[in-house]
This record gives sequence, C-alpha cells and structure tokens, in this order.
Amino acid sequence: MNPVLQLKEVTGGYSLKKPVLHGLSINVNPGEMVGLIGLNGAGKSTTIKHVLGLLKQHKGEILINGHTLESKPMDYRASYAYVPENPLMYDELTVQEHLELTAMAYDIDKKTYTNRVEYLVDEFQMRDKLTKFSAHLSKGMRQKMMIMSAFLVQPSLYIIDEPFLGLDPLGIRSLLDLMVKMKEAGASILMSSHILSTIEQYCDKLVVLHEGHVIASGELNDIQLASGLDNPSLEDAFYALVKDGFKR
Amino acid sequence: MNDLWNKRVMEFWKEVAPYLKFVLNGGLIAFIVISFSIGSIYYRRFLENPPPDFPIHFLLTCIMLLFIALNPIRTYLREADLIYLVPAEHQMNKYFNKSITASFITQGSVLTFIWILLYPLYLVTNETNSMTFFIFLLMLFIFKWILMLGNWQEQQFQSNVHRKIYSVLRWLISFVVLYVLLTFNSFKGFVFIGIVLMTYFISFRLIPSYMIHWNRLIFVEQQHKARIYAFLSWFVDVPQLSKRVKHRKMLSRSIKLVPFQQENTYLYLYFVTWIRSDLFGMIVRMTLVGIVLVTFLSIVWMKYFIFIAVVYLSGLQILSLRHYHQNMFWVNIYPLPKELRIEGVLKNSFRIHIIIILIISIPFILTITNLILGFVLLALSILLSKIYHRSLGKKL
Repeated sequence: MNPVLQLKEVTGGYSLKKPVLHGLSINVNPGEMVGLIGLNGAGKSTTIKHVLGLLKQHKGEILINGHTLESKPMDYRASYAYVPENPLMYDELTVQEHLELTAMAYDIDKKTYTNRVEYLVDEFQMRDKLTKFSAHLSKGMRQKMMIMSAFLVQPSLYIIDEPFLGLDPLGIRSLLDLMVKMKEAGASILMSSHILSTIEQYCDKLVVLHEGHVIASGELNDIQLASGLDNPSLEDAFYALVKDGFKR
Repeated sequence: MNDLWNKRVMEFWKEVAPYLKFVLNGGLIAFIVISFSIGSIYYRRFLENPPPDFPIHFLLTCIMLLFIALNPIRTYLREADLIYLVPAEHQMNKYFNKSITASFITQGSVLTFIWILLYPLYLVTNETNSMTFFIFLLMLFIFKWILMLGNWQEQQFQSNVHRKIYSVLRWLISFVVLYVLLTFNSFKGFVFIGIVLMTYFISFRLIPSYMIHWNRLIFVEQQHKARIYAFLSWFVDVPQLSKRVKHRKMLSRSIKLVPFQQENTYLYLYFVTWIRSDLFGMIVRMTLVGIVLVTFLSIVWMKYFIFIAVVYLSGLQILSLRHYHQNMFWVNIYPLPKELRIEGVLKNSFRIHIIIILIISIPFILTITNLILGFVLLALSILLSKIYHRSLGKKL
C-alpha cells in the first residue's frame, strides 16, 4: 500500500542557514490518522507549512499520492484540505459564500456541494450563521467554518492543525466523528494537537517531534516503549521523551 | 502632550509619504490641471455674461456649505490609547485642543482659497465696498470654528441618535447661516445668525455626553484613515487598507449569475468583494452624479467632459480591486494556477466597467446632438478599457 503522504528525510525551515526541521521522515497511509505532537517550537507548524507547499524544503522530498508539488502542483494541492489553527476568512464573504468559493476552487459540482453542505451545516449547527460575516462570528464559529470547508472537499488527505481550541464540546464531538467517518472511507489525516488525551484515543499512529527531530514514532505501544516507562499514559510517555530530548 | 501630538502627525506622514509619489505620478494630476484650466475658462465666461435668473446665492451657499459644515477633526488616536492614554484623560485637553486647532487651520486655508475663487461670483449680484471680502472671510472663519466645536461636541454624545440629529442640524444651520449671510448682507441678518449660532452652541449642554468619548474618537479616526488609504489604493497597493463590509442583500442575489465552475472561482470572489466593499458605493455615487450632470448640464462640451471623467475615474477605481486578497493565505492553497487570480480580477473589473460605460452613455447619447461622435466615444471607451485591462494582465 502506497502512503498518501510521505516525508522523506526532510530538512527545512524559514532560512537556509538555520533549518528548523532535521531529516524528518513521516508516512501517512490510507485510512490512517496520524497525530503530530511536540512542545511549542518543536516544528509542528513548520512541518505542516512544508506539506502545504508554503515553504520549500532544503533537502529531502515530500510526496502526496506519489506526486511532489513541483511535478504536479495542481494535483498535489487538490489532494489535501487544510484546517488552520487560526481561522482565516475573507472579510467580504458570508459563511455560505466561503463554502461556495471552496467548492468552486476544488471543482465540486453544485449538486455534490449542496448535499455535502446540508449535512455539514446541521452537524455543526451553523444554519442560522450562513449569511453572517467573519466579523460577526466568534473564534469557535470561524473554526467550524474552516472545518466545514475542509470536509466539504473530501480529499484523500486532511491536514488539521490544533483544531480543538475555541470549539465547543458539541463541535469537538462532531469533528471527531467526522474524522473517524472520513478515515473509515479511506481518507488520511495528519493532525497536530496538544490535547494528548484526544490524540491517544483517536490516532492510529503518533509522531513525537522535538527540536525539529522525530524522537519517537509509531503506534502508541512504540511510543510507550521508547519512553522507557512501564505502560504509561501518552502524557507521561511524552513527558519522559521530551525531558530526555533535552539531555541529548 | 504637545510632543505626543507632533509625534503622531509625523508618524502619520511617514506612513503615507511613500504612497504619495504614486499619486503624483499618476494621470490624476494632469487630469486635475486640465479640468481646472478648462473650468476657469468656463467660469470667466460665465462671470462676464451671467444668465439673468441664475440662482447665484443658492449655488454659492451649496458650494460653501461643503467647506463649512464638513469639518472632520483628526485626533491621530489609536486603539492602544484606550489602555495608555485614558488614565491621563485629565491631561489630554492640550492634545485635543491641538487636534481641533490644526484641523481648523488646514480646513480654514482651503476655505480661504474657495472664498477667493467664489468672491467674483458673489460680486456679480452685490454692491460691496472694499472691506466686504475680509469681513465675510472673518465671518466664515467664525462659523467654521463654531461648527467645528459643534462637531467635536457631537462626537462626545453618549447616544448615536443624538449624534445623528445633531449632524443633520449642523448641515441645516450651516445652510441657513450661509444663505442669510450671502443673500441679506444686513445688520438684521447678522443678528439672526448670531442668535441661531448661540442657541446651537448652548443646546449642547442639554445632551448627555462623555468628557471624552474615546471609543467614538478612535472609531472616527480609523474611518478617516481608512478613507485616505482607500483613495491611495486607487494608485498603488496599500497593505494597511482596512475594509468596511456592507451586506447589500438585494444586490447579493446577482452573485448567482456567476456560473458555479472552477474557472470562475476568482470571478466569484472578486464580484462578491466588489458588491460588499466601499468601492461599490464610491462608483455608484460617481456614476449617479455623472448621469445627473450629463443630463442637465446645458453646455455641450461639459457633457463630453463629464462623460470622459466618469469613464476614466470609474476605471481607476474599479481596478483597485486587484489589491484585495492578494496576500490571502488561501490563494496559495487552492489547486488553482496563480494567473487565474489576475484573470478573474480583470474579467470582473472589465465587465463592471463596461456596464458603467453603457449606463453613463445612455443620458450622454440621448442629450447630445452629434450622435456619431457619441457612439464613437462609447466604442472608444470600451476599446481603451479593454486595451488597458489587457496590458495590466501582462504586467501583473
């Protein structure tokens, strides 16, 4: 089975002189949810920016469905949907218009769009917000708007950056349910978050980033093993790992 | 506080200065110079031979009204001042006095200039002695000062309703006072004006007000700055451009006209943006004024002039849409080629421009005698717009 997302020995960052990521290798297989965890500044967001194609790696290769950004830019971009940590909306567009714009940009026909939106709007309780502008929405509602946009596209890869902050409990539940549903339908998810309990419960695989290095990866067992503790929770294992990381 | 004010003014000009050269480079200066010189020829001809029942006093009042009743006060306040300056509120008098005085001096010089320009028109109908020019200028300054203080008090009102009523009142009083001054240059007239202004001024004590309505002042300042940047954005990309958004529900229905297809993504985005932005209001207002002028002006070459002016200025304005969303994150994420954005921007602005050209052409062609020249100008406008859009497409 070919991985949907493949990072091969990626070294990168904002400046060539000071790379933030050092030889990162991550695979995300079809139907797999991979959790990216690490402290602030560990390189999670930088990794995501590289995958999105906003930063160019200094060394190594990033493939989505076997294509690099350079070889097939439109296919590469069409293969993923992204939920940013900070919702970014056009000031002039209503929620509904954002959804329509997204559908157009990703070449989704009107009928499919209508079907998907109907479901999402109810799931996230946004029906009465459809004609509202970004300025009239709370952070949580804007976050929901971002999530709806991404799940409207139904790509093979979801890249989700810390989605839970500002989201109400119902929203969190809906998001997790949707992720499971998409995963079961064969999509892959790369998600970064600090909410370790949720990551532990939902992710199939984990990648622990520390100072730009992958210091542990694999299933929960592998992380627990790497921590050297006896059957720890993810939180304890993580703590042990990054504490170790400092010593290295 | 004096230093702070000076610093703020300096900072503002530092921020704006880099853009000014683009404004000066553009065709606008040439446009202003040309219209000014053409206007002066017409004006002189009018003065030599004014039509017998032309409402000169009314016209004078309407023009002067703009320079008397409109008196924005720049405070250079910022949002952060809510935290840092509010505690020093009792020391801020000096700062605000300076704001009011400075705004008065700038607008007063413009007022003087306008009065010099219009005085000959006043002379057409009135017997005067050599002092009238200066006495009236002094009177105008006094009105302006009182109404400016009135404007300042308005801003401190607690309720928006009061503010609106007083803003209407300010225009009304300006109109009456100016009209009385210009029409009845008599002692009784002066007494009447004096009573009206006194009443106006005293009535402020009755309205519940803040000492300083910080939020309002900051809002007004932001709006003022936004307008300056909106103007600058006609000529050059202005990153600070802050946008006010209006829903315009009825018009929003026309968004459905854009076919739901990938290639139209940016056409859709920019069409919606245009409907919601300030740009829309500006263009509609200008086109309407153009239509009225083209329809009712009796001098033929003025019609031509207004037609060309509307075509040129609306093109300039609509194209500033291209600066919207160019740094938007999502534009880099969509599976769409970069060129599609430019294409969408230009397609949208070209279509809108054509519609404006057609609309202004209707009264133009209906009211001129030389139909052939009218249609030639219409075709030429569309052609030039097309060429300009295409050349921009290559440049961007």
